[in-house]
Amino acid sequence: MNWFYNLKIATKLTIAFIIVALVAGIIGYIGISNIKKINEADNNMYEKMTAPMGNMAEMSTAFQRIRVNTRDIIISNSPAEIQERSNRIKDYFATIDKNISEVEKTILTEEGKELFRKYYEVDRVFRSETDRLIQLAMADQDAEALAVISENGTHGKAAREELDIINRIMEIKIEMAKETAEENSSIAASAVTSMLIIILVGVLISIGLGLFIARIISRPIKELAAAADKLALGDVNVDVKATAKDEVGMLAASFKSMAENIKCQSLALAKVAEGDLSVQVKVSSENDVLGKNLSLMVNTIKELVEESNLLVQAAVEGRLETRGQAAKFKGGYYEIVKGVNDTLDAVLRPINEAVACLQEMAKGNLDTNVNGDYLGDHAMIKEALNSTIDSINQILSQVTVAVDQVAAGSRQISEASQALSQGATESASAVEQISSSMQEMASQTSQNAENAMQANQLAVLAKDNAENGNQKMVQMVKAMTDINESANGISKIIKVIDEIAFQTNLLALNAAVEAARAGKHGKGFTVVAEEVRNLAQRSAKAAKETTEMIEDSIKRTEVGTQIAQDTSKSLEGIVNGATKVTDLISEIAAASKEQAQGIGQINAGLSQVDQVTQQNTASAEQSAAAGEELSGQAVNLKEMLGHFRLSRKSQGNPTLMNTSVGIVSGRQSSKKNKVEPSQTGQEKKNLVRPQDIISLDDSDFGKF
Amino acid sequence: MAMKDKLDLDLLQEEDDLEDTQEGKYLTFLLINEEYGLEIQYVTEIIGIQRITEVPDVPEYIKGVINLRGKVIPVMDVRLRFGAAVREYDERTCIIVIQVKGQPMGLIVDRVSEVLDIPKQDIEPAPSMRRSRENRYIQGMGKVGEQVKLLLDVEKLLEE
Amino acid sequence: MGEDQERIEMIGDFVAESRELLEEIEPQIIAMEEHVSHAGMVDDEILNSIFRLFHSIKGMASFLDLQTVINVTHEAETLLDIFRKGKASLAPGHIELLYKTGDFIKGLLNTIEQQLSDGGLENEARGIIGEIQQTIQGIAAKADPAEEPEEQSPPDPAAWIFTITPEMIKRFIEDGWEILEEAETSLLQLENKPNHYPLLEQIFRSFHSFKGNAGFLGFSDLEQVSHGAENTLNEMLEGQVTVNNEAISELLKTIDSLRDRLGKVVVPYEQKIAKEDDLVGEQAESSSLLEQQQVLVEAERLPTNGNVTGGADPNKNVTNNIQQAIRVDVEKLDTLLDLVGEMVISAAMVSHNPDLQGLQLDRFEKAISHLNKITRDIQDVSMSLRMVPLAGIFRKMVRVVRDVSNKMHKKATLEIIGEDTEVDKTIIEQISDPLVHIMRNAVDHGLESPEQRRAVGKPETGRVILEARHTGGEVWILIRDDGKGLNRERILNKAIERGLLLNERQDLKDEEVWKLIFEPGLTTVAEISAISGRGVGMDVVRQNIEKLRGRIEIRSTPGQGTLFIIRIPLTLAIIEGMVVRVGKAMYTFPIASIKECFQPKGSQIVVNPDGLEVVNIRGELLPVIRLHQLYKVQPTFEGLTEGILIVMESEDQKCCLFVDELIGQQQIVIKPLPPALGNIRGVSGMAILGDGEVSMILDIANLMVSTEDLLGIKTE
Repeated sequence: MNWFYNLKIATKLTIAFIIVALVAGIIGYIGISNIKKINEADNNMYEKMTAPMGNMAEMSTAFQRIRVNTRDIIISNSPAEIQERSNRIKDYFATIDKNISEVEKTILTEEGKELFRKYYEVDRVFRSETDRLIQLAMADQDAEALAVISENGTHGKAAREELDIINRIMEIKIEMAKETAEENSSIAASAVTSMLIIILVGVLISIGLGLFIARIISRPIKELAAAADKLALGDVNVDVKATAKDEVGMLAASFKSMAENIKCQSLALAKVAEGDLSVQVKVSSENDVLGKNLSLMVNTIKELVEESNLLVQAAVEGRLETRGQAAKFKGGYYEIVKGVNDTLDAVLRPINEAVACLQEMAKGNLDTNVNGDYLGDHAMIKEALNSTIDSINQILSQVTVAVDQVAAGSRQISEASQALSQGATESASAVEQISSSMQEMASQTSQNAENAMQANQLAVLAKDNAENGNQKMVQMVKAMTDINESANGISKIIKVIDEIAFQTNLLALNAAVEAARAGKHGKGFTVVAEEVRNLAQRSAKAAKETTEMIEDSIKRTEVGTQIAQDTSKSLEGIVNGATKVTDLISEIAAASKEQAQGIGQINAGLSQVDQVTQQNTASAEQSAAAGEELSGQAVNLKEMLGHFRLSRKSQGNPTLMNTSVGIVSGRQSSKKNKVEPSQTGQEKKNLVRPQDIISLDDSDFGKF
Repeated sequence: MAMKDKLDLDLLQEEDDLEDTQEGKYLTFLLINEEYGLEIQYVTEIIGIQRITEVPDVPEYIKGVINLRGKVIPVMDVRLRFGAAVREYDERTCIIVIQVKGQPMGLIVDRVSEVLDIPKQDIEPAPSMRRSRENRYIQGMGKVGEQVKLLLDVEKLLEE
Repeated sequence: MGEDQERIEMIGDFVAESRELLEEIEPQIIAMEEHVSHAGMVDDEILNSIFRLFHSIKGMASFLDLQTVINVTHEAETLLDIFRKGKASLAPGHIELLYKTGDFIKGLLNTIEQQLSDGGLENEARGIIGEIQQTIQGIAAKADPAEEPEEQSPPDPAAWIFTITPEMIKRFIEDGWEILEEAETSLLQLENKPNHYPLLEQIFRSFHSFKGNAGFLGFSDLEQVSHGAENTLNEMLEGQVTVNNEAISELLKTIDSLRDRLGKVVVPYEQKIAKEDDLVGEQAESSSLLEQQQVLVEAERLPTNGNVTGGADPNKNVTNNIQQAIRVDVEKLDTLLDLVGEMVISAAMVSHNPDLQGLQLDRFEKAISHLNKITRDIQDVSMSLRMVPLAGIFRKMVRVVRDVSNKMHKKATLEIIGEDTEVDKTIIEQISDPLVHIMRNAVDHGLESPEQRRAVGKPETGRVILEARHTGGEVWILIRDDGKGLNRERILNKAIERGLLLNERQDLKDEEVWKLIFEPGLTTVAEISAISGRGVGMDVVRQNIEKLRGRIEIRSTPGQGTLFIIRIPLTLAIIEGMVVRVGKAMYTFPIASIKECFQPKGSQIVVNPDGLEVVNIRGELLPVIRLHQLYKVQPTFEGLTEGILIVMESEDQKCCLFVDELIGQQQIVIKPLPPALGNIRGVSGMAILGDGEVSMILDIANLMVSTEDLLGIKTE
C-alpha cells in the first residue's frame, strides 16, 4: 500500500475520481438496458395481442351483419333488395377474411393453430350455406330458407359453431395478452431490484474512497501545523518526523532542520543571560545575522564590566575626581559610563558649599546662607542649614527686645505701687460717705413699702366697683333682648292683623264681584263692599306703618344691645386691669421690704472694705522698693548681648511686642526660652496674659 | 200661545238686567307691574294663594289643582302663560277663580286691585303692531283717569 | 202668567211620564208578539197592561187637551179592546201597527215638548188612525155578524175580572188623589175670580179625566159622581149656570165625597160593585144638577151595601194607599250631591284633623264615628237620588234588536242582565246612542244568517247578551254576541286602504286591531245596509264614551263571537280609597283594586335586560311601576327595598306600584278631572283628602297601559 502513499497528491485524486466515474457508468448502462427490455415487451404485447383484438371485434360484427342480412334476404321478396343485400354480405365476408388473416399472423400457440383450422372448415360450410340461402331467397322459397336458417338448420348450426370458434379465439387472445402483461411486470420488477443493488454498491465505493484520500492528505499537515504553533509560542524543542515522500513529507523535513537551528542559538543566549560571558557563539553561515551580533554583544559587555571596576577602586581610595573614559564606548554603553561620571559630580558640589557656610558662622557672622539650588537629599541639607541660621538670628534679636522691656516694666512697677498707696487712702474716705448715704436709702425703702400697701388696698376697691358695673351692664343687655323679643312678638301680631286686613280685602273684593254680578240689585251692596275694602286697606296700611315702626325700634334696640355689650366688654377689661394692678403693687411692697434688708447687709460689707484699704497702702510701699532693684539687673543683660551681629529682618519685631511683653514680670522670665521659637506661640501668650493679670488681682483680693 | 210670548218677554227682561249690570265692570289686578282688567262676568271669586297639588302631563303654566271648598279647580300661573319670569308667591299673591264656558279655572296673579267701571267709550282696541306673547290675550285697553288697564280676553287665555 | 207656567210644567210632566209609559209598552208588545207566535192565544195580562198604558197616556192627554194624542191613543185602545174581548186573535200585522202607533206618539211627544201643543201633526195622526180603523173594520168583517149586537150588552164578567189588576187600581188611586187636589185648588181660585174660563176648563178637564179613569176601571159610582160634576161645569162653561159660591161649594162637596170614596177603594177591588153600578151608570147618563145631588146621595150610601173590606176607619186606608212621588229639578239634585260630597270631606277633615292628633278623646271619637256613619248613610241615599237604573235604555235595546234582526232576516234573542244596575243620569243620557250602535252592529255584522249558523252548528237564533254591573269605581256595560267575531284581515286591509295604517302591520296585537274599528269611516261590510256600514257608528260610540271619560274594550274570537266592554267611571262616587305618598305628592287608589302591600327583599327583585324591574311574589313575576318615574316627582326612596310595593289588579292584569309610604285608608269623594286639564295618564279623577289636599285617583288599568307606553319608549 506504501506505493500509494508515496504517490503525489494530484495523482491520488485523479485515480479516485476515475474509479467513481466508472461506477456511475456501469449503473447507467444497466438501467438503460433494462428500460429497453421492458419497452420491447410492451410493443410485442400490443402487436401480438391488442391489435388482433380489434380485428376479432370487426370480424364478429361483420359475421353478425351477415346473419342479419341473410335473414332479411329471406324475408324480403323484392329481387332488387335481395341482390343489394347479397352484395353487402359479400363485402362482409371480405372484411372477415382480411381480419382473420391479420389475426392468424399473431397466433403462435398450437391450440390457436388448431382452432384456426377448425374455423376454416366451419367457415367454408357457413359460406356455402349462405350462398345456398341466397339462392333460395332468390328463388323465393322462403320456407326452405327458413328451415335452413332455423336453429337446427344447416346454416344455423354452421353460424353457431363459427361464432363459437370466433369467441374462443378471442378468449385465447385475451388469455395470452394477460400472460404477456404479467411477464412484462416481472421483468420490470427484476430490473428495478438489480438497479437498486448496483447503485448501492457504487455509492458505497465512492464514499469509501473519498474518506480514505482525505485522511492520508490531512493527517501529516495537521502534525506540522501543531509543531509550528509550538515554535511560535517560543517552545524550541519540537521534533518533526518526515515519513512520507510526497509534498507534505518534504515540507516536514525542511521544517525540522529550521527548528534545530533556532534551538542551539537560543541555548547560547541563555548562558549569556546567566552572566557566563565565556560562551562562543558559532556562526553557521556568512549571512547568519543572528549569530554574528550575538558574539559582538558578548564582547562589549566584557569591556564595560572592566571599566566600572576601575572607577569603584578610585572611589574606595577617596579619589573623588577620577572619571571613566566614555569615549571607548558608543551607543547605550557610552551613556552608561558618562552617567556614572555625572553622578559623582552631583554628589560633591553641595558638600563643598555647606562647608564654606559653616566656616562663616564660626566667625560669629550669622548673616550668611547656602544659595546653590540642589535636588533631593542635597536640597534637604541646604534647607536644614539655612533654617538653623535663621532661628539663631531670631532668638538673639528677641532676647535683646525682652531685656529692654524688662527694664521698662520694672520702672512702671515702682511708679504703680506709689499710685496704689495714694489711692488706698482716698478710697477709705469714699467708703465713709457711702455708708452714710446707705442709712438714708434704708429709711426711704421702708417708706415705699408702706405706700405700696395703701395702693394695693385702693386697687382692690376699684376692681370691686368695676365688677359691679359689669353685672349691671349684663342685666341691661338682657333687658334689651327682652325688649327685642317682645317687639318681635308685636310684629308677629301686626302680621296677623295685616293678614286679616288682606283677607278682609279679598272678602270685600269678592263681595264687590258678587255685587257686580247681582246687577242693579247689588248696587247698594257694592258701596258697602267698597267701604269695607277701604277699611281693610286702611288697616293694612296702619299695620304696615306699625310694622315699620316696630322694625325700626327693633333695629334701635339691637343697636342699644350692641353698645351695652361693648361697654360690658370694656368694663370686664377694666376689672381684669385692676386685678393685675393690685397684684403688681403687692409684689412691689414685698420687693421694697427685701430691699431694706439688702441695704443692711451692704453696710456691714462696707466696714470690711474699710479695713482692707488700710492694709493695701502698706503693701504698696514694699512693692515700690522691689521695682527699683529689678531695673538695675536689666541694664547688665543689655551689655552682654552687644556682641552678636544679627540679620536685618529680625530687628523689626520689638515694637509690636512692647505692650504685651511690657508686663512680663519676674515670674514669667523663667519660661522665656520655651516660648520664643515660633511667632504664633508669642501671639498665644499675649492673648492669655491679661486674664492672668486679672485672675491674679482677684485672687489677691480674695485673700483679704 | 199667550203664555209663550210672556215667557220670551221674561227672558228678554233678564237679559236686560245682565246688560246694564255686568257690562263695563272689570276686576283689575296687578301682574308684572301692569294693571290688567278682567270682565266681571267671568269672575267667580278671589282667594288667597293656597297649596297647589301638582299634576303631570299639563303645560307648565298650569300649576296644578286646588281644592276650593270641595271643588277641584285647575290653576294657571298667568305670568308663565305670558311667558314672563317666575315670581315667588307671597302672601299677597291671589288666585282669581273664573268660569269660562262652564269650566272653572284659577288665575294666579301678583295682586288683586279692585272692581272698576270702565265704560265702552274709554276702551280702545289693543295695539296690534307688536304681537308679543301677552298681547295675544289682550282685547282692549281701558283708560281709567291717568292709568291704562290692559283688558284680558279670558277665552283666548284659556285656549290651548 | 202663573197658570201658563203651570201648564208648561204639566206638559213637561206629561211628556216625561208618557215617554216612560211608552218605554214600558214596547217590551210588552214584544212579549205579546212572542206569545202570539208561540201559543197564538193572547195573554190578556199583557194585553191589559198595554191597553192600560195607552189609556193612561190618553187620560193625561185629555187632561191637557192634546187632541191628536187623545185620538191616536183612543184608536189604539179600541183596537186593543177588540183583542181584549177576544173578538179576534192577534196577527203580526196588528203588532206592527201597535209599534207604529207607539213611535208616532213618541214623535208627537217631541213636538209637544218643543211647541207646548200637539198641533201640526194632525195629518200624520189621521194616517195612523185611518190604518187602525181599517184593521178594526177588517177584524169586524171577519167577526160573526151575530155578535154585533152583543157589543152593546155588558161584557161577560170573565173578561172584566181579568181587566182589573191591583196595580191598575193603585195607579188610579194615586192619579185620583192628584187630580182631585188640583181640581180643589183651582176651584178655590175660581171663588176669587169667577168667570175665569181657563180655570173652569181646567177643572172640567180634571173631572173629565177622573171620570175617564174611574169608568175604565169600572168604579161607576165614582164615574157617575164625577160625571155629574162634569155636567155642572159644562153648564157653567156654557153660561147656563152662574158660577157662585154655593155652586163652587157644591163642587167642593163632590170632591170631598169623591175623595172619601177613593179613600175607601181597596185593592183588589170587589167586582160586584162594578156590576151593580152598571145600572146606575145608565141612569146617570142624562143627569142634571139636581139629579146629580141624588146620585151623590145614592153614592153616599153605596159603601154600606157595597161591602168594603177596608172597614170603618177611612184615614187608615188613606194612609195605606197614598204613596207620593215628587219630581225634583236635576240641578237641585246635583247641588245636593256636591254638598253631600263636601260634607263627607269636611267630616273626614274633622276626624282626621291634625290638631286632634295624639289626643285621647273617647267621647269625641264616639261622636265622630257616629257622624261618619250618618254622613255615609246620607251620602248613599243622596247618591241613589241621582242614580237611575239602566233598565230604561236596556229595554229600548230589545226593540232595536228586534227591528234589526227582522230587517236583516236574522233570528236573535236579547238577554238582559243587571238591568237594575243604577248609574248616574248623565251616563244614561250619553250611553244610549253608543249602545244602539253596538247592538246594531252585533246583530247586523256579528250574528250570521240562520243558514250560516246552522252550517257551523250553532242554534239558528243568535244570542246577544247585554249586561251591566259595578266594578270598582266603574260601571261596566258588556255586550256579548255569539256571532262570527271580528275579521282581523278585513279590518287591517280596510285600515290600510283608508291610510290609517301605513303598511301591512301583522305584528299588531289583536286589541290594537280591534281598536281600529272605531276609526271614523272604517267599515268592514262590503255593502252599506240601511242599518249600519257607513262606518260612522263606532266613531260616535267612541266619542260619546270618551265624553264620559270612559273606555271601551273589545274581545273577539273568530267564530265564537265578540264582546264589547264599556267602562265608565262613576261620576261623583264616593269610594274607599288607599292614600299613598310619593315624595311630596299624594295619590289615591280604589281599595278594590289593591291586592296587597309589602316591602320587598332585595332577593325578590329582578331587573331584566331592557331595565324593566320585576318583583317575584311567591313565584309570580310582576312588573314594577315606579310612580315617581311615571309622574316625574322626587321620591324619598330610590331603592325598591326601602319603599313600599303595592300589588294592583285590574281585571286580568296585575302589577306592582312602587311608592314611598302608605298614608292610610280613607273614604274619598271622586271629583271629575277638570276638563281644562285634558286627560292625564292613569288618572281617573281627583279626591280631596282629610287635610283638604287634592290627590289624584289612579286608575290601574289605564296606568298599566300608559306605563307600557313609557317602557316602550324606554326600550326604543
